[in-house]
Amino acid sequence: MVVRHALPNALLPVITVSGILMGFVLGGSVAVEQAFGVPGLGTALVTALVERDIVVVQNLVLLYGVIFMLVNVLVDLSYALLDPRIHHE
Amino acid sequence: MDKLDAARRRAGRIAVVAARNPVSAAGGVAVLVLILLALAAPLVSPHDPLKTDFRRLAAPPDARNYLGTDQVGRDTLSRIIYGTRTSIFVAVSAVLLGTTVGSVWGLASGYLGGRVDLVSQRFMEVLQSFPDLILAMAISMAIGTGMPAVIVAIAVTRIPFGGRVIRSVVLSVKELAYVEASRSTGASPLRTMAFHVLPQCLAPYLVLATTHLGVAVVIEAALGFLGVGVPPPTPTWGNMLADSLTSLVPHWWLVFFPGLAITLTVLAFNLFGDGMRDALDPRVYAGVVRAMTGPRRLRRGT
Repeated sequence: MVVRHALPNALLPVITVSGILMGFVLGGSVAVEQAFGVPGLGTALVTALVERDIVVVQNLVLLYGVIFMLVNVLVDLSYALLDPRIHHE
Repeated sequence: MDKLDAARRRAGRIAVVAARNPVSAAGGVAVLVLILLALAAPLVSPHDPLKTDFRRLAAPPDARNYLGTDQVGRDTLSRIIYGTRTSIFVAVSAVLLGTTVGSVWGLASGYLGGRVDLVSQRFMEVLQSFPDLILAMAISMAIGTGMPAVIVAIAVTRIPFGGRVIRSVVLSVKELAYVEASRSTGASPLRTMAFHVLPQCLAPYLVLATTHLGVAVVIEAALGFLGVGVPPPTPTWGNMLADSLTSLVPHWWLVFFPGLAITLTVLAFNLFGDGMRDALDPRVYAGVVRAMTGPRRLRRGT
């Protein structure tokens, strides 16, 4: 009963917050990748920044923005899944 | 005499708020200590933060260098104290700049409404759709290097927050009877905004500014750590963390103490910001705004 009725309602604010936190995670991953030498997007961004390679920086920043936006779209869509009162037209 | 009385009453009100919320008061005291430390850095720090000592390279903490030295023999404690200067200065000026621009923009956007509002809100959404740190990195690269670039970069990431919050306050305030009264007597939009709507935005503005100081400190440190912050000879906590990673096995005192400084500073700012929010929430305690800003500044609505 808890899983079926309480959990979906309790999940709504959790999902909202996790969408916002995704921004922090994306930003934080840049620092973490740099600290541990992980060859990911963040390392690429920092390398491009230091070398002042502006085209690479532009595209990576855009990519980060798109990822962040997609996550927030998913968050919005998941509301309808969890709460039958919410409908997306 | 009158002035002294007013000052005493103001101090009394602040004391009442502090007594209600001792944890936040501790945060406030810590913030005060940090500011004093930043101002008195040359007097407090035991060594010159830039002076290298090649007889003591990467020395662990001892009686001479309380927190050890880095790879070129600079005193860690002195560098942390001088780093307070950079961090506090960058964070405070960035937050002041960003929140003020955002608030004025939000005020205009909320009050004027219509097309101005629509365009402004879309612009704020664009700013908000990038992760803070990544936006700050990109902007600081685009406008150059050095401390001013870092300040502007962090300020730009704070604009949408100020804009959103103040806009929502303005939207509710502008429907109140006294604002309508001002409009109906023929006051220009600018006058109504400045004298009747703006004072109501003061409390949210202060809360917003203090709560965002912690975030600004983190972004500043992260920029320094990634090598795109305030450039190296200046000791900053982020630069110190970045330097500590240049050796194969980082020395623990070079990682731990700057990290601890960042953590404590952010904690102090967050506690202080929470306290400000509790204190300035009109439902909790209305008189505090006046206590903070002096009498006469805040005009009560109706």
